[in-house]
Amino acid sequence: MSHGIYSATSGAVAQQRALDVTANNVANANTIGFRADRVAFDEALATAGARTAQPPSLRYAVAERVVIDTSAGAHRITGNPYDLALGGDGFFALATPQGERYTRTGSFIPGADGILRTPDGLELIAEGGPNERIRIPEGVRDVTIGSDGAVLADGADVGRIRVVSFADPATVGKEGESRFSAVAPPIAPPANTTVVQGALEQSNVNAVAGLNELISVTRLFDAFQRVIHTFSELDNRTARDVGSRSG
Amino acid sequence: MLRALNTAATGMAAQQLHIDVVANNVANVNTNGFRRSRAEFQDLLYQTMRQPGGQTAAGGTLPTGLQIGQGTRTVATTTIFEQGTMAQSGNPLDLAIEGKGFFQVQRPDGTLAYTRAGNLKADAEGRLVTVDGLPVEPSIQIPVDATSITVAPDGVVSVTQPGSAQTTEVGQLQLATFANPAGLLQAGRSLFLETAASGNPIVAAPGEEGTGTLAQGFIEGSNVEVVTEMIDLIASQRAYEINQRVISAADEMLRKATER
Repeated sequence: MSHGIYSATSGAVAQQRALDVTANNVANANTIGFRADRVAFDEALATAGARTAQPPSLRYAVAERVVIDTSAGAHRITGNPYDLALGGDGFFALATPQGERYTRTGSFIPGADGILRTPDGLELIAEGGPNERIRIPEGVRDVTIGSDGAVLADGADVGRIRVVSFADPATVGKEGESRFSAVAPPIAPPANTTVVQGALEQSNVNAVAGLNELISVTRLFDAFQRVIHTFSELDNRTARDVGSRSG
Repeated sequence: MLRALNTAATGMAAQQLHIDVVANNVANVNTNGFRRSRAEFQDLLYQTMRQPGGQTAAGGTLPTGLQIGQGTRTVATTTIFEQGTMAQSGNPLDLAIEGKGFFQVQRPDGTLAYTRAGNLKADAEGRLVTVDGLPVEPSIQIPVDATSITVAPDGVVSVTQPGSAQTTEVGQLQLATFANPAGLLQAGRSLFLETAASGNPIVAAPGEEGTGTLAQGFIEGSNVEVVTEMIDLIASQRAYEINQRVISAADEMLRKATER
């Protein structure tokens, strides 16, 4: 059997995974604050191959890393006072039963008790400690949120929204439901991070790039498929020819 | 099977729902007191094959993880309570609220509902009612022989009657506000109902406690902006198409994989 057939199969499997990732990106083209995923392909088993009889030139492709695209999504003006977009790097901090989680989705709503929450009911954490919240008092007419996250309800200071960042963005993982979790503790955001009131950050999925990815994935898969066929044909012929001569 | 098939299907379902919401907004572009809705989406749970920041066999930390998403879901439809456009009608019983308040109306079962549609009428007995005939709370009785009706910005309703030079005060309208108007339940017919999420109504005279003042002779239209809705419609349609393309790509790959 030719070893090359496994190399081509690893390539085809990696393209399947790439399609899964692209599918999730375009399914979330309208998800506020969504960050696209990118697959990173790696060579694997190059050293393992050297220890066996395989020629050292043989390599396997694996998609073992998915990197979050941290480029900013476009801001869309909504005029809603509790719609917040982040300009620059950073995350809003949310209190969940599992601990602190992070989000770029700045669509908040004050609950019946006035505390700012996400649409699925998680409380937004304010500056000053993990139990601090932004509480909008009853009967407030005008809520102004400054670029530093300071919230003024009819001119009265009701706290500052906590915005955090991470020293190594690669340690931030996705949890789904627009939340991110991190293994490392957060740090203060860079100075250029601003809170924009009355706007929402759209998904950073680029439709054209998504289409390109789709085309490239299908074409590459096609090519690997052809390589597999060629090897299969080769083995087939070898078996037939060798068989016919010995017999 | 490829996850991509199911993932793209969630994307198509989400875009369908998005178009449903846009369709209802556009259909109500001329509905008095209508408040537009917005569909909000979230990504679904991720299948984590390698945790970012996890330990490697060699004792180091993984610089990046391997997480594959499973698609999208709709988390909420949020009602946007921005002020609608004000149109002058000249009709003395057309009242527009300039602020966050709602008129309280009594439903046939005795419970209260809330509305922004201030195109009020007087019924056969002279009571102020909505176009659907629901009486406004507190009840205001307009004398049948009233020649003119004046509604002050603070909600005081006064009338003039034949043979009298003086105006007579017949009542004061009240407005309700909510801590979280987005938590109100949309009941159709321009009515909103109180829920646990909205909080209790805070009832006050117009102009007090952030209720907003009344403008007589004006109608508040819907707050739907056709241009924004059209942009949403186009974006949604394109996103639907791309999800469809993912399904065909996945189908094509499976076909190739199974052909001999």
